[in-house]
Amino acid sequence: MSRAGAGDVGEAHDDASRARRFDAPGTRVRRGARLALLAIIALVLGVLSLGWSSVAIPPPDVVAALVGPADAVDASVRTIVRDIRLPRTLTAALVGAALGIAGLLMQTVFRNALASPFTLGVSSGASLGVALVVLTAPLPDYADAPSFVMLVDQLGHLGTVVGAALGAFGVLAVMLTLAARVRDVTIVLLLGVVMSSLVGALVTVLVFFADARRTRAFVEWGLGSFTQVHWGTLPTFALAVLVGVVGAGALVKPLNALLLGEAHAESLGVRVRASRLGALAAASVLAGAVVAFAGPIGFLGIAVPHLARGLLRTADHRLLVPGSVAVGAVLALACGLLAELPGSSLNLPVNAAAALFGAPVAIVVLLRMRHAS
Amino acid sequence: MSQPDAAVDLPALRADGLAIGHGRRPILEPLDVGLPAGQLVCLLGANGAGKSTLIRTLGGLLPPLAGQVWLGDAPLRRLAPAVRARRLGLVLTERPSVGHLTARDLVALGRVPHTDWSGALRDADRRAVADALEAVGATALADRDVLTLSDGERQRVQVARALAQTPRVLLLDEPTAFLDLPTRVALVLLLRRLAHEEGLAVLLAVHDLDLALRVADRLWLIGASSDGETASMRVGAPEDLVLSGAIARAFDRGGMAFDPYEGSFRPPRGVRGTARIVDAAEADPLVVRWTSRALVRAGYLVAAEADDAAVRVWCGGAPDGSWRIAVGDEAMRDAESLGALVAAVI
Repeated sequence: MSRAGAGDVGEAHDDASRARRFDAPGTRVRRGARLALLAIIALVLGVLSLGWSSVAIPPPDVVAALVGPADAVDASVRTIVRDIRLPRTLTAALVGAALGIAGLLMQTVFRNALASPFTLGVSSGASLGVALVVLTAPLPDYADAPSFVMLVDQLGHLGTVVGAALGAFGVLAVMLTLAARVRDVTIVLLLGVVMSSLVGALVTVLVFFADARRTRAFVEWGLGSFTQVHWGTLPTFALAVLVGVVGAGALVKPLNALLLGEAHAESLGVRVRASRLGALAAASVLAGAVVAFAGPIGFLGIAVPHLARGLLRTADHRLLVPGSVAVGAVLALACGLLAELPGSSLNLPVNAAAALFGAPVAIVVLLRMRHAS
Repeated sequence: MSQPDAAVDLPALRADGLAIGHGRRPILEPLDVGLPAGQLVCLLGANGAGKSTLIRTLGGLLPPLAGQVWLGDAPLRRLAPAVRARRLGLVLTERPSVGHLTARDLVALGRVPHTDWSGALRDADRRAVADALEAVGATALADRDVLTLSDGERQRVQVARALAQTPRVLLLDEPTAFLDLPTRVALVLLLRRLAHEEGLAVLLAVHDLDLALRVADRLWLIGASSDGETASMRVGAPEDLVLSGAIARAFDRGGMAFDPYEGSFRPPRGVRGTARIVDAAEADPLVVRWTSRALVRAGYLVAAEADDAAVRVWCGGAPDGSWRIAVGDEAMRDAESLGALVAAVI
């Protein structure tokens, strides 16, 4: 070991070339190319989903409506693309990114390959927060059958997001306490299922006693949808997601150290408790925002981080944070397209589409976990 | 602890009236002990004696109940975590849990206390990682996924990770626990080389008494606690601790006894009576030795001069050069292997 570092010219040259050969040749370029490719796919899917719905609009018209002059396309097409479908598409991309990052944070903090907002009951916690706000807050008399959008508009988006994030954080805190007691990852997942049912039951009780006009809106929301967000609410949603993603980005180094285990991370000088709290707060904001604006959407949170690791061939959070944002956006846009059932006026619940993509990934991960143990 | 070397050089790590434990009651008498640079010290003790607690307290992961740990000339608890991590490396039993983490990535995490907020590596960091991999002979493993490494390979990579921190002190908690014997020996010899050649102070908690007695420069031995008394730790050269009987006192329990001649454990002997190897001086010493081991295993006390021995054995006494046995007054029998011999005398 030449730790002293004082060497002659030959040794210095040797050191430099060794440092340069650090990564296998081309690895960095390949990872960069894959990230760029993911971004391009997300963009293409975005344009497709702007055009591909009950009224089909060809991609050139979509692009013209977005970036062309006001008279480039028919005014109604312009309105549909810009005011109805664009917020929906952006919502889908944001939901995917948010769930991907939330899943990544939770998988690292819990050291559990199947941890996600959905599997550990965090989404249910957020639902409870939303239910408490939406079902119990006072409502003016004018609305005889308010949609969820109207309810949320009435109550303030921020209130709903804060309620959802607090609900999510509450469940996360409980789950982390439980996970510290039982080291077995499978038991933690089972506890997550139980926690989900428990919190879900509380929501059901709330719904049962709530005003009948509101419950229908609440149940519809529970199926998951990208259509609830409009230009008025999008900034709040986008801001919440941005806060969560930036939080995750700020924690990449402690997250990487946590891959070795908490005691090892601490021995490396990482402030484990603070980092863990920060990561869970970020995950809560992300999961809470998604639940508040699009409903409890399952499976994306599990699948996205695994696909990002596999595509980029790395466990490094410096790459996995942008990677999960990109993969999440791609996957959620694909789910949105699937849910739209092009050519018909029907909308599948986004949850169903997400499960179609996400469940197979979860199954593969489960089978691998069995091999590992 | 009054050797001249300890008096001249400040130990790399020193416990000063250190009381350790998880609750309020210390599990050991207060410790005053130094870990000298350039030495491999093995920490021995029965399961649950407090080896892990001591390692974690010395490593700054657990607060001491009383007293102080000194890292060089600085109190450990006063050091910023990153500064501590540049001077002291820990290898614990936790395993990495995700895939797509290469051995090189894992070793690069040893640079965490040296890098900026994002953990980006500079050339100096990459050199340190390459050097650490080379020092443990794991350069060829660099691109392997950590999940595909064997237990021994993974532990070597973990040692490289700790080395990449460029510490002066290395504390390891049972890194050899799941390794087969050759891998275990190789890892311990690697640690001894790092201590002797790189001047590291190495503290290694191990189960393997036999190995510790053969390679450690010094032992820290946590004794068994008896009723109402707090256990204490003895420090000394392995041979001194054997001769003083400290090892035997720390480990004797449940039928197994420490044999100070062998430096290892053996089952209680003499249950079946005495056995004698007749004319042992004329036979191959190696054959005599293992014949004796076989008789001990079968429960006999082997004595050279016992005239009234229940079993007498001649090595090479049979016409074909195998064993001849006389049990009591019965007729002589031949055994073609030691397995057959044991079967005949039980």
